[in-house]
Amino acid sequence: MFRYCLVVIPALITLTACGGGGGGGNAMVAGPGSSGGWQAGVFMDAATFFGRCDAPRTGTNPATGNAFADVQGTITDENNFLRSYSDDTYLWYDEITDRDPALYDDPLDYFDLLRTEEVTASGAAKDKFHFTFDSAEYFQLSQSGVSSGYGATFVLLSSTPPREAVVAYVEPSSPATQVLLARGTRILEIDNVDINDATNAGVDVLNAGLFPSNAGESHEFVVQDIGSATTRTVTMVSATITSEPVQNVMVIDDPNLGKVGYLAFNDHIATAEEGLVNAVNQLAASGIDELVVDLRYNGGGFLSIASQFAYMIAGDGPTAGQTFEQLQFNDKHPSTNPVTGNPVSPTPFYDETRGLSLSAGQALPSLNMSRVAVLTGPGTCSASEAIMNGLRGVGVEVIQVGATTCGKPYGFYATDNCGTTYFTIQFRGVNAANFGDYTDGFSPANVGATAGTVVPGCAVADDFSKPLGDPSETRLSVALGYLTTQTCPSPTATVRIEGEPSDLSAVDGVVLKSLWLQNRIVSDL
Amino acid sequence: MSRHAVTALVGVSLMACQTLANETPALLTHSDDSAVVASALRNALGTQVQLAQDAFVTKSWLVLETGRDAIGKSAADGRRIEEPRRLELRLAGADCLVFDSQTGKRIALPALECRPE
Repeated sequence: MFRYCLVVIPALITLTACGGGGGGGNAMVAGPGSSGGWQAGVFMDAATFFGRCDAPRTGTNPATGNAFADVQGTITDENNFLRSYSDDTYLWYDEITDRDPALYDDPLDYFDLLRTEEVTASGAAKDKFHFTFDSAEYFQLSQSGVSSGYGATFVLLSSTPPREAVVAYVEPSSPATQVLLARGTRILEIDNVDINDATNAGVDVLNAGLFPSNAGESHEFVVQDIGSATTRTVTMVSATITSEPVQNVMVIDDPNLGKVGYLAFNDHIATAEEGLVNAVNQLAASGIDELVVDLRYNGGGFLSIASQFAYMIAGDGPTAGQTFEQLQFNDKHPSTNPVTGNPVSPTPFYDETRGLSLSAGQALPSLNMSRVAVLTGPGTCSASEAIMNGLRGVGVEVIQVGATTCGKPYGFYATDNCGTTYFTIQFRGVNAANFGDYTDGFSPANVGATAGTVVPGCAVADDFSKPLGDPSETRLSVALGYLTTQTCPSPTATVRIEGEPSDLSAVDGVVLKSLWLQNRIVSDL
Repeated sequence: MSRHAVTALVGVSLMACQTLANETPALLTHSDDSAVVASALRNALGTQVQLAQDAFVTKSWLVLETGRDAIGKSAADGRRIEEPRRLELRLAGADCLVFDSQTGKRIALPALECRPE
């Protein structure tokens, strides 16, 4: 027997269901279909324009299982939806320059303008996360953790020639491990195209090889292994990969610290719930004295996973009854989520499973750590930063070793209209101490130069010359040293000699995604 | 906008709160049928659906994610606050079906054999 009560309905459903209607008490301007009548600062309800499309879709909406509700409209209708929706829900709506929607013949161009142009203290754009996807692409569904590929995550060390791509980590028992790809392996050629090829055709080949669309694709790679002066050629056939978001769970016997638990947590996907519970049970059974959590490649995901993991790190003591993260929408919506209509309530430190990969309602194990060392990189983002911020908010000592994190205390609801899915920042998250102002990221204390929110710890470049979890890997080694002495080695210089390959023991990179994707994201990541 | 969203929320919630006395959790009888399930879902939902090769073979439910391939591991969508979209394989009498928690819909799988979990 089943009994289900959906607590939160995703925005795509609620938005689809609210087409038509309108009103809301705003002053009236030109209605749907009109090409004129714009008045600066006067906004109709976004619902008035929702689903009124220059090219209405037919068929099934994958988000609802019902037919698309699009009706014939105009480009101006689509722009008006974006204008009103942004005025209603954008976090910094009062920093948008209001522009006549009838003057723009492409909603993507108009949307690009519907954001703040302010900068942060570091001089970076205040809004780095304003972007769109083609909805048909975005609607594609995959089982959590499942994708087509080789089971290797690549990092780009240099985007300009000599371009450098290396393996950051691999999934167990994957096509990548079958041909012995490992952390630090350099990718030199793909399907006879040099990694430095800058032509459009060449880049297409590189992308197609790195990011196969389907299982069963065969691609040839020329690679160079760590410590090898020669290259080798391997052929990988893409497969349906189920990733393991929690890897390298181990206990390090340190002469000064005792038993130090370590795990690499790479992705806040649903399957991480089970992986983290298993990891924490393993570490708890070992009676660890310290904990190092490796988040250097973790770009975020489900916030409820972050909350659960923070609880498992700290235990009941500091977290009972406390807020992990409170969402704050713009000042038009101080108490109600403008997208779901639900009251805005804090996310607690969840002490039970949430039904993401384990059955809901099971008590979570905990490690009861009063401090934790976190390994970070520029790809440590969003929900991963929320772990750090949430723990700091309840007085757990967080030590950061690595590079400044991405700086994303924000979130949004994916909003589909007329075949484009829009992402506009709609809320920020703050911790129990009401802190969420880390737009420039979290930075280890000795990072120097431009820094984000300073956290005790050490700035250390990534070390691709050693496996993750190896105590001699530089970031882990420095974390162990800091936990012992509260001091850092001199910051490592990541100077690259022109024309020479990077020193893989001291270099930072970004997790590589398709160039198509990079082109679509309106940000300076 | 929010007023309409709330109305929709209540409507969908009621539909999803039905007690379903004649349905029980199920597993695929044949371990190589996951691809057939994916195909049925693709036809019903009108979009690509990628499942693991052992989907519904050892567990009756799984979580679907949207835009995973589009977003990849970028920071584009790094703070998800919605509840996960669950798919549940069920037996209703002798019939096999998938229940979609997001839409509240049931997708029949007439070509497949299921067994109780």
